[in-house]
This record gives sequence, C-alpha cells and structure tokens, in this order.
Amino acid sequence: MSQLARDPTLATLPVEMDWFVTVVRDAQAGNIAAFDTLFRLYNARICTYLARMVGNDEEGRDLAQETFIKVWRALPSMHDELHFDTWLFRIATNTAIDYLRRRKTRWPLWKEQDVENTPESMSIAGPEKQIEEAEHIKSALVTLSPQYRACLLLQHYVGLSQREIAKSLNLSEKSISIYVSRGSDQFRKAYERLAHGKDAKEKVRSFK
Amino acid sequence: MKDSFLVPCAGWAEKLAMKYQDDLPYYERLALRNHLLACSACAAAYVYYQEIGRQINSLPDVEPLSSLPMHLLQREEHLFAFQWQSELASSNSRMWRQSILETEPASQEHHSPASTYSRLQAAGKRGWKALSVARNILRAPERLLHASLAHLPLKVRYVSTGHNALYALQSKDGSLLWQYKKSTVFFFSPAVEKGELYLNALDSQIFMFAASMRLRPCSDSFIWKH
Repeated sequence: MSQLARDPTLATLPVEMDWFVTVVRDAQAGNIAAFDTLFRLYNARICTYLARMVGNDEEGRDLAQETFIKVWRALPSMHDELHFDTWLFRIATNTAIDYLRRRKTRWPLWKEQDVENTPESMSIAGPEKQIEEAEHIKSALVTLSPQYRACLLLQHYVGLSQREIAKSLNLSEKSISIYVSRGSDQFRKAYERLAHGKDAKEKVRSFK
Repeated sequence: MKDSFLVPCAGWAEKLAMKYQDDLPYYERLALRNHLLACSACAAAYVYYQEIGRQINSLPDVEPLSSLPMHLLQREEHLFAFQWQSELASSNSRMWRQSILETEPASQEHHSPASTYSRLQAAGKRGWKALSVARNILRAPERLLHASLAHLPLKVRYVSTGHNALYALQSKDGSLLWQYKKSTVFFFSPAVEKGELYLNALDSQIFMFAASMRLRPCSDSFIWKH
C-alpha cells in the first residue's frame, strides 16, 4: 500500500481510503468478515516478511498465523486506523523477534546459517542462476541481526519509509537510519562472500 | 577476502541507504544529489544500496496461508467479550451502561448470572457499535472533503520556499485546497520541476490517500485549507 501511495503514476488499482478505514473499524468492532478482508490484503506480505525474518517458509507461515491471532485480539485497542499497516508490521516484527529469541534459548547450539561454511551438499546445484542468487540473498539476510533484518525488509520489501519504520518498531528515526545503513553494509559483505566463495569453489573444481 | 567496495564518506553513509526521498528534508536531498555527483565512492555505495532493494524484492513470494484460522479466532471470542466488560467498567462507559440497564424491564433483574453476563456482553457490543457510529458521524466532514476532492479536476503545484518543498493542491479556479511538504511523489517528475502537474481523478485520489497517511504524524507540515 505504501509503495502505491508513494507513486500514483504506478497505481493500477484505486485505493479507497474511506473503504479501508471502514473495514478496519468494522474489524475492530468484532466483524470477522471485515477482518478476513484485512487478512486477504496482508496475508501474502506478512507470510513472506516473516519467512524472510526467520529464514524458513514454513515457520514464517506459522508465525503469520500467530500474528493474525494477536492482531485480532489487539484490534480493539488500536486507535489509528490509517496506520494499520505500520501497527500490523510492528506485531509481526515483535512476533518474529520473540520467536528467534525463543529458538536461541531452546536450541543454544543452533546457529544462524554459516555463510562461509555452507556444505557443498546444501548448496543448490544446477544451471539455474536465479535460484542460486535467491539462495545467496536468503543466506545473506539470515546472517544479519534480527533488528537490521527487520529494518531492511520493512524498507525494501514492505515499502515503509524510515519514519514509518521508526514508528512501527518504536525506535528513533536516527536509529533506523543507522540500522538500515549498517544492515545494508553487512548484507553486501555477506552476499559478496557467498558469491565470491562460490566462484572460488568453482575455480578450484575446474583446476582439478 | 579483499573488499572491493569503496568505503563511502562517514557523514553520508546513513543517507545513502535511504530508499525514499521523503526520509530526507529537501535541502539535504539536494546536498546528497550534489555529493553523489562529486564522490564516486558514495555514488557506487548509493547504487549498491538501492540494488539491495531489487535483490530483496527479487526473492519469490512465500505461499500464503490458505485461509484465516477461524477456529483459533473463535476461541479468542470469549477474550474479546471480557475486554468489553473491562471497557464497560471504565468511567465513560459506566454512564452509558447505566442508561442501558435503566431501559431494561424491571422483571429482568431476577435473571440468572449467566443471562446477566450475556446481556452485558450484548450491551457491550451494542455500545461499541454506537461509539463507532458516533465516531463516523464526527469524521463525516473530513470524509466528505476527501470524496469531493477526488472528483475535482486537480492541479498539483510544486512550490519551493527556501529549505521547504511544498506541494499545493489547487482546484481548477486556482484556490488552494491543501499543501503538503516533503513528498517524493512528484519530486523527479519533469512536469513538477516546471512548476505544475495535472492529475486525473484516480491519481489524485491516491495522492490524497498518501497525504492522509501522513496527516497525523506530521500535522505541523500538513495544512488543510477548506
């Protein structure tokens, strides 16, 4: 929604603000059909966002379900219908960060995917360059701290401005700009390490 | 491994990673643009940081949930009812509850606790509906304005006043309807740089939506002119 709102020339569908506010208010009043409409609007984005946050599609979907239940429960206490998406992504982010914290406590030996030592058997074989690149991007994202990851995903995937991210994560705009900048830098380094590592492995293989 | 990436200037690093131009004030945007023309390291970092967005968006979407988990939501319904009870206990709602109870027939006072509970629950829901209706009525003028603006032939004028960039929305007769500063919507449009841009009804509706999204947090920078 934010991306559409930013550039009306790219818009293909009418955005009815009144309609949206009415739907949010109906959902607040306990109307499940209205909440189902909100669910349909945000379902795909929340699932993908959470899957990217935790680095696993299935866990992302489970967390999306948990998020929607939390949203349903907390809706009556929400006051700003116009910023429903910011509020929704705050709940989703907190759910993901809580989950990552729990996962670390339960399985202290579980480590975020080590990008430098990815076993050969785990890497995607075959000529599909795009699939390989997607794997590199996912792996590079997983190496970031949850806060940096959330900021990068909210800015680039969800399309929130840094002001909106600050509001959503309850942090200052200054912190967000630092997080995004450092997160981008870490992402770049991790991605390059993965891409170059792969190239180096291929070179070694061709020498053999 | 040697890092082939040029290190951007420390003072600009954070600004380079900003995706949307409205994260920066107008004068900083101009300064950034000038700096990018002069500094190749920052220009390369800027391009790379923007590329990260493309990379993240290139990932395939995850298959979404098939439907809303109704059984779980329905289990939450009773929690919802308890929330209404606590709402009713608040000072504002207490008077209203009193009025509801006064209108009930006297014979119902002898009902069992379970039926009293369900009556209170129903009354809570009715009260919330009444509050929603009242809130809708109070917001009617604002909504009317939005609706009427959406059907006017609109012109957006770009006005630069020193350090502030303003977008002003005018009706056909030239009267100022509202102005909004720090928007990226038309910043890079050549028509805007010439001073004005005409919108069709759909675009203006979306532009209004964008502006409204920022109405509350930036009330000082968003001035309504009726």
